[in-house]
This record gives sequence, structure tokens and C-alpha cells, in this order.
Amino acid sequence: MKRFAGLSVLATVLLVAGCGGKKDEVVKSGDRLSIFADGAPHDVIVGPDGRVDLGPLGIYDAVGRQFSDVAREISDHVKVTPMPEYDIHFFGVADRPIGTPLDHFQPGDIALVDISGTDVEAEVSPTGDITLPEIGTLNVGELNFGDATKRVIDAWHRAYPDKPADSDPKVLVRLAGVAPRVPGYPYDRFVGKDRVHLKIGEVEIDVEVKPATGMIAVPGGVGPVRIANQTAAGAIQRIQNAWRQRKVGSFIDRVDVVRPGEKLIVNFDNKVSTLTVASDGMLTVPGVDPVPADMKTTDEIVGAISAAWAAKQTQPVFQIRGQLDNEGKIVPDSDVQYTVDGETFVVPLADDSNGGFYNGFYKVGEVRIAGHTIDEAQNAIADAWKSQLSVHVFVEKPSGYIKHGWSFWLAVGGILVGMFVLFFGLTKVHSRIRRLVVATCVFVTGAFWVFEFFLPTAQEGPKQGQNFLTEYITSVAAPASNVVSGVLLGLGVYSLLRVHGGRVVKRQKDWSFSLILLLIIPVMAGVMLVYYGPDNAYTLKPFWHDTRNVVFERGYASMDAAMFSMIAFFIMSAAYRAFRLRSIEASILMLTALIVLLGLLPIGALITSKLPIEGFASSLRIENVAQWFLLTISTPALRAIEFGIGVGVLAMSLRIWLNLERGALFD
Amino acid sequence: MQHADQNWFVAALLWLFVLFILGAIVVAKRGKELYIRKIPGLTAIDEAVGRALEMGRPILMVPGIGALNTISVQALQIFNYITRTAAKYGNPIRLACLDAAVYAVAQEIIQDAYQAEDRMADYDPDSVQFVAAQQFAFAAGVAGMIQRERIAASFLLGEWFAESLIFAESGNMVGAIQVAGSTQTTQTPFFVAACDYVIIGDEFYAGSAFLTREPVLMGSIVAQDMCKALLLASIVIGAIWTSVAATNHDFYNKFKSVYGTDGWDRVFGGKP
Repeated sequence: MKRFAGLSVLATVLLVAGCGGKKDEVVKSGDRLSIFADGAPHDVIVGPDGRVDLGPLGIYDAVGRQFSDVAREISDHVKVTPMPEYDIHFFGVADRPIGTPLDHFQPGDIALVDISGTDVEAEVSPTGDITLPEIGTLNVGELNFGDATKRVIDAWHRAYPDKPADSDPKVLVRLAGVAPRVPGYPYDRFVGKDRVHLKIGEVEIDVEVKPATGMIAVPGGVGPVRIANQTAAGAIQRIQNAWRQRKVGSFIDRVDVVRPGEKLIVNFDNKVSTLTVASDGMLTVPGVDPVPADMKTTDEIVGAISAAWAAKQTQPVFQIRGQLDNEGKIVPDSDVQYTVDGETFVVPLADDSNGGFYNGFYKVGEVRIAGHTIDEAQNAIADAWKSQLSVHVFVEKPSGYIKHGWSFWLAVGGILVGMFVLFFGLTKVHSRIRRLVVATCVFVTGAFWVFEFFLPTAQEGPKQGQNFLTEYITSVAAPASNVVSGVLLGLGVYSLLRVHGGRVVKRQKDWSFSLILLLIIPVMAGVMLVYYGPDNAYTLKPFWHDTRNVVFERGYASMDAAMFSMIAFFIMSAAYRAFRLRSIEASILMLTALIVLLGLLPIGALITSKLPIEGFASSLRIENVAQWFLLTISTPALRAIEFGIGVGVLAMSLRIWLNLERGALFD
Repeated sequence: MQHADQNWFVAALLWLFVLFILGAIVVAKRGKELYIRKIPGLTAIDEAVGRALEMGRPILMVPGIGALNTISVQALQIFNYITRTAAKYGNPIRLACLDAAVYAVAQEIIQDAYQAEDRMADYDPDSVQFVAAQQFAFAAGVAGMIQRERIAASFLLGEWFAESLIFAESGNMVGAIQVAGSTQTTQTPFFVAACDYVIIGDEFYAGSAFLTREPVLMGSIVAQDMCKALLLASIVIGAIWTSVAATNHDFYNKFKSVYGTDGWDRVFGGKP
């Protein structure tokens, strides 16, 4: 109870300390500002005339004004900007009467000819001709795609007379902007993979309809709009609706940039030095050419140093060999042979559904290469090599190389002393006062979460879905929780050392296992501390990389997996006991389990395969009976239990929050 | 993050539940006698402790592998009652924790239980152990403890995941009487298969009320049942409404004419 009280107080102190709030700032000449306006970010520098130029969104007087005032003016202006004229049609399709099937070519169309996996786009001339490289010119005017395909195959045979007459290439011909459709689907409605030509006022762009979502990205703050299954008129209407609902609010933040004369602490390839930005705005880092630093962020300077370094290096020769699919792309979940400067490694590729990756190409690090061609993979590895150099840049008081002043250490010491005073004070006071302090702390922290949930949130802008308390979850509540967890983990480790140290000292039964535990704790902690030390400096050093692999990947992770795999055997033994036909309930349980099991196995489907797949009798097929058990019997029962649990959590949380809970922990 | 203004209907329902709970607590505090049905898993505590006493072997308690939250706090409340019973008869106990915060609170609770029974001489600080902070390392440690010490009774209450069956089957192997309870519906079937008594769903939150018979807790449990009845009613109304909408009945059309085609959306914040 006493310890609990101390922790609650700590959480509240940290929470209250972080709730100071931000003051509105004033724009100054020469500021670099990040302005979010009309749904898009803008990076601008305030000119000597004190104005910010947002292009089509206007020019605003900003110097001397508060950020919020300028943001409000931009928002008001954007709201009255007239809606642009929108027009949309298929890419590469000449004018036709509305409703005409798009299954034949006309002059002005752009044909897409796929010959054995190689795509060629060719415009149909006024005479109906298209010209294909290495094949020549052929006429497709007024031909449907099937006839056009035959004509391309004939032309290919004429171009390659030495090829056998019966070895036709794999040819597919269609309109470049119109994706293949299922038979009977109307040609005046868009589908996924269609390419569309979008006109926004005077601006014209070509975009593809995303196959998964049926959306296109419309610029100008409008964002993604779903146009699949829509006619051109319907699509325009949807875009106009999206324009009306676009995010018009604007927000301004100052970007922290470096100026001439400013001192930077640069960690370049694990060598730390303090450098000054020259009066001409250039930064000279030993070992690379000077890089521009004036008005740049530290991240931009890091990128410039990396690029300057890569330009002076001799790039290693990377070679990849591996299993390829029909399209010449590297197969996920396979092994590739990776050669760097003549040294060869075998690298297994994992598949994380975003493309394969392996966390440790030697000299390079993590690169995703599965699903890419060999050339693409080698280029990706070379790019990763260029950016793998350890470069970090900090201004004045960098994290990792912090030089705090006396006020910081005074504050830290004050907080520590205050916490100890509070903790010991709480142990000395009457239990009623202690209880009051704990109850107050719990109520305040609980009230934070209640208000955060119920207060209205912003409906637009980068803080959409947040209210003024939301940011304190990540900036105050989470760090405070981490601090408390860290302190308590120390208590846990102390418990381990006390219990197992006692066993070793007293030579109790199985004391040798305790000794192994006591030895392995500093080894694991030491290796991981070095590996993830300052700026991950050692992650690229082969010795530490291999050491970490031995203790963590090969040792700990393997034992963890072994423990997990034991569950399979425990399931068998538990199921055997549960399914023994000792009672009516056990019999029902076993029968249900058997049906569900068979419903999920191919052999189960075979048992009722003679039943029709449609109509009433289909519901007796074993896979449908199994689904019925899962969805109609099991799922509602589980949901009912979860409803009860949810209400139980609410009731208990309410009791704790309002200091109504009773029991050992609360009396 | 979810917020109330994303769905005001749910927010209003939440307030209604809060009113029910607070109202029932007030009624219970005024002395109205309330009834809670028997929960077999909790009545088996005395049986399990008695059996451990007969066998002269320890009782194991594990408050799940979750962090310090309402679930682990509730488990610790029940463990306090078990420890008091065990301390009364001089049974040794073992309490294994994965989370450091739970470990810190568990230490206090167990010490308080011995103090309350005036048995501080029997209190062993090592009876509450922080075993490991990783799931399967913890599973290995506790399974080893079960096998080595051949525990007589085990209480597995809290938040459980894949390790649940490792504990339950290890306990079964050494012939321990086992009471388990989880708020994870995915783990409950494993406990049903491997344990003697299982506390299912919100029975878990009724634990401290059942054991202590405190009016505040009893009132809260009764209010939970009222909330569940309200949820059940809303499910029935929803099912009827969906059926009416499917038949395109006149009543549904009249509703549409009053509230428009998105009437349901506007009134309830979700499509039927």
C-alpha cells in the first residue's frame, strides 16, 4: 500500500509537470516554416519582406504576427477559393459515342501490346497503324483486340522468320488505359487498374485506379477518391464532393534549422567532433567535401554528409543469385546467394507480406529484395550501402552527448529528494491521510483519461481526432509509465538475485541452475547494452553482431520456440481427457470438435462431397455445418462472455477511480 | 485513439452503465440485501487449501502474465483471501509474477495477509517471486516450479495467453487441484479441458464481492447484471429492427420518411 502510494504520487507529479501548455509563437523574418494548408504540407522560408509565399494558395504577411493568426487567415482564404473544373476520362482512349464498347481500336487510341511479358505502348495513327519496335508497322484500325492480337503474332513471325511457325509468342493487345474486365461489365465505368486522365483546371495528370481500393489520388488537398464502378460523370461528382469536404484548416510550425556560426556535434563513422558552420553556410566534415548547412535541418545535413561520403567511396560489387519466378522476380521465403567483393554468403529471405527482407546483408543491413528482379535487388543493396554509414548530427545540446547545465542537475536532484521525502513522509503519516493522498492521485490520473476520451476532438488538420489532452499521452503519460516500469523492473531483478543467490550460497537442491541464471543475466544484459549502445555504434561490427546472434537468436529465441512448441503436446493430452465420453456434455463436446475438425480438413469435405453446393441440402455439407457451429453457436457465446467482461472492467475501474473499491489493496 | 465524439450513442450508453453501477452501489450501501449465486471455482478455495494441508505441499498462485491492471488487481485480491486461509493453517505458498509492477504489489498483499492473520513468523519473502519478464521464460520457470515442488493446489487467475496450457497441464501431471480463471475467451477452453474448476468471463470480477460480501462490491455486481440485461435488450431490438428493414415493412418506410434514408445513422451512429 505504501509503495503503491509512492508510485501514484510519482505518476501524478510527472503528469502535472508536463501539463504546462504551449505559448503561441510569433513569426520572424528568415524563419523556415512548415505550413499545413489545404490538405498538403508546404516548406517555406519567410522572406526579407516578411511574407510567406504559398503559390496558388496566396501570399501572406506573416512577420510579427502569431502563428495562429496567420494559420486562420490562410484557412479563411482557402475556404473561399473556387472549386476548379474537373474532367476525367480513360487514358489513351480517343473520343467515341457514350456507351460504345471499348473492345476495338480507333485512330488516336493508345494501344498496349504485351509480347512475352514486355509491354509496348503505341499510338494508333489516323490511318489505323501502330509501330512496334523490332516488329514494324501494322494496321489495327477498327480491329477488335482478338484480331489485333492475331495481326501482331503474324507480324512477329514476319520479323523473325527463323523462329518455328508453331512457336507463337505470348501476345496480349488492349487499350493502354482500360484494364481487362469480366465479360459483360460496362465499358463506361471505371475498374481497378484502369488508367485515367484527370484534368484539374489547367493541370492535367494521369493516375491509375488502385486495384485494392478502387481509389485515385486527387491533388490539391482532395486526397483519395473512390471512382471504381462509377461513370465519368459519377467520378467527377465524387471528386467535387471530396473537394468540398477537404481539410481546409491550416497549421504552422517552425522548423529548427542550422545557421552560420552555429556549433554542431557530428558523429561521423563513430568519430565525434565539434564543428562550426562557416559564414558561407558550408560545413566541413573531415573525410568528405564541405556540405551546405545554412537553413538546413540536422536530418538534411546527415543526408548531405552521407551523399558526399558515398561520392568519394569505391562502391563494393554486389551480386545476387537466387530462385526466380516466371516473371524473373526473386521468390520470397527462399535462399539467395549474396556476394560482396568476392565474399559469398547465403541469405534466407523472410516474407513479411510487404516483400522479403533479411535483417543483415553483410556491410549493408536490412534490404527488401523478394518480389524484385535481380537488377532491382542489386541496386537496392547498393543504395542501402550508401546510406549505411553511421552519421549523426546534433545542435548545441544533442541527445546522447548532452552537456546539461547546473539547473538541469539541480532539478533532477530536487525531484529525487522530493520523491524520497514524499515516500518516507507517506510511511510516517496516519493511514487515513495516506489513503487520501492515494485516492487523490488515482482520481486525478483517472480523470485525465476520462476527459481525454469525452472532450471533443479536432475534425480537421494534422491534429484530427485529437483534443488538447491527447498529446500528453505520448509526451507525459507514456514516459511516466516507462519510468515507473523501469524502477519496478529493478525490484524484480533484485528478487531474482536474492532468491537464486540464496540458493547458490546455501547449496540448496538444483543450485547449479541458479548459478547458470546468475551468470547469464550479466552476459545477456552486457551484450545487448553494447549492441544497442550509443547510436547503435556496434550493430555493424561483425563481432558484436555475431555475439548477439549467438546469445539471443541462437540461444534465447531457440529455447523460447522450444517452450512454445511444447504446447502442441499439452493440447493433445488435454484434448484426450476432455473428449473422453464420460458424460453427455463431454460427448457433445467431442462430437462438435470432430465436426469442426473435419470441416477444416480436405478429407472432411470429401465425406459430403456428393451433396450439392447450392440449395438447402448444401447446408448439410460438413464444411458448412462446421461453419455453422463456429459462427452461430460459438461466436455469440464468446461475444456474450466478452460483453460481461467489458461491463465487469467498467465497474471495477469505476470503483477504483472513485475510491469505492474494497479489499486488501484498498483498505 | 478512440473518443466519445466518434460515436455518441456508445458514449451515452457508457454513462447509462455508470449511472446503473453507482445507483446500485448506493442502494447496497443503504443496507438492501443482495444475492449473488454460488461460484464453484471460488467455493473450491477452501477445498484446495485443505487438500494442500493434508498433502503437506505448497499452493501455487499465478496472477497471469498481464501488466498491473484491473485484471491482475482482481486476481491479487482473490490471492489475498487464499493466502489468509493458507496462513491460518500454516500452508506454504508460492506466488510467481512476470510483471515487475504486479510483483511489487503482490509482495505487499501477501505480507498484509500474513499480518492480518497474525502469522508473520511464517511469512517467507521468497514465496513471492519475480520469475522472468518474458512469456516463455516465465512459462519454463513456473512449470519447473510446479514439477520440482510438486504443488498440491494451483490458482491460475488473470490474463493468459499461449502459456496457459503449459501451467494447467504441468499442474495436472503432479496431481494438483486446479482453479483457473481468465478474461481471455481464447484461453478458457484450455482451462476447461485441463483444470478442475474454471471461473468464466465476468465471474472473475465477481470474485472479491463473492468472497468478502462487501455491500459496495455486491451492489456493483448486481449493476453489472442490469447492464448486461440492457445490452441483451438492445441486441433483441437490433435483431427485430434489422428484420423489419429487410422486409421493407410500412413501419420501416415511415421511419425513413421521418428521419431520412440515413435515419439509423443519425439516431444510433451505425448501420443496422
